[in-house]
Amino acid sequence: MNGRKQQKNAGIGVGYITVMIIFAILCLTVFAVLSFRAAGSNDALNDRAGNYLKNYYAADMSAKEILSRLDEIAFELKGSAFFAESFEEEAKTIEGVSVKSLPNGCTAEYSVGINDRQSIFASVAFFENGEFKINEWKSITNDTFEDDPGLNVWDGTF
Amino acid sequence: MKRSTKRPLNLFFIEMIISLLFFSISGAVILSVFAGADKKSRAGETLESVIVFSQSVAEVYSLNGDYDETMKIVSAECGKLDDKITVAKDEEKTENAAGTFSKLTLIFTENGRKIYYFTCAAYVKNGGSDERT
Repeated sequence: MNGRKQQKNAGIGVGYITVMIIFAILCLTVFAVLSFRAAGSNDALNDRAGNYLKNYYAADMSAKEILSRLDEIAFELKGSAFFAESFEEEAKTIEGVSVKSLPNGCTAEYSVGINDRQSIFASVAFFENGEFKINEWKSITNDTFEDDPGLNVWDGTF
Repeated sequence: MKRSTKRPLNLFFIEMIISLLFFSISGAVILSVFAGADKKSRAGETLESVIVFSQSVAEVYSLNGDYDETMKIVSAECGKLDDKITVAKDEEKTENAAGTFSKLTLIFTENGRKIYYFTCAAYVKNGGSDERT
């Protein structure tokens, strides 16, 4: 009699399915949330990269616009006896441009902001024959670099 | 003697039905979350390819200031964008005595939805490209 009863209850017990389903749902929920978060953070990263690219080329465009204006000035003064002086005077009318004299022309330097922390710095040499040469065209950080003094360790003296 | 008709098997079936109901409801919610993640991931991939393409266009355009030539070079070097993505351009050229300043705006749309836009520029001296070092 006892043996027959045991035979009837053998197999999947009551509650086993509930436990398994709760476990499966928990696993699926965790995976779903993780994949959603991963896709979201990837999307946010792409947005940041896209915005940076947009800002960088907007600054690059402004810097090129200044270059075209400076080149126009240099072209108009081509062959002039007072090229450097006249160029400096004319270039000063453009905001943010500083000019240094060269033996056969002058160098104009200016920077255009990309964002709060970075700028595009340009250094262009303009020559008396109306030509120009870009010496530097690079992105720089606006923050000043502070050298780390290092750890304050005992130097062996009392 | 009458035997009892109540069996543990009935309880098992009731539990299974309730569990399956709960599982199907939860499964529907979880599937929609997965679908959302997949949609977001695809959108991210598209945006990433558009950004890479834009950067290539900007770099080539800054040297020649010619949209058609730029697209020819970029398509040959980087491949074409997905067919679903359409590119609208707006090019503006300002000439002075010394050279030509060109401004190019590209607008990328996917199924009529604007996904990205950016503006780049070029300055080309008359008689050739600039002397960038």
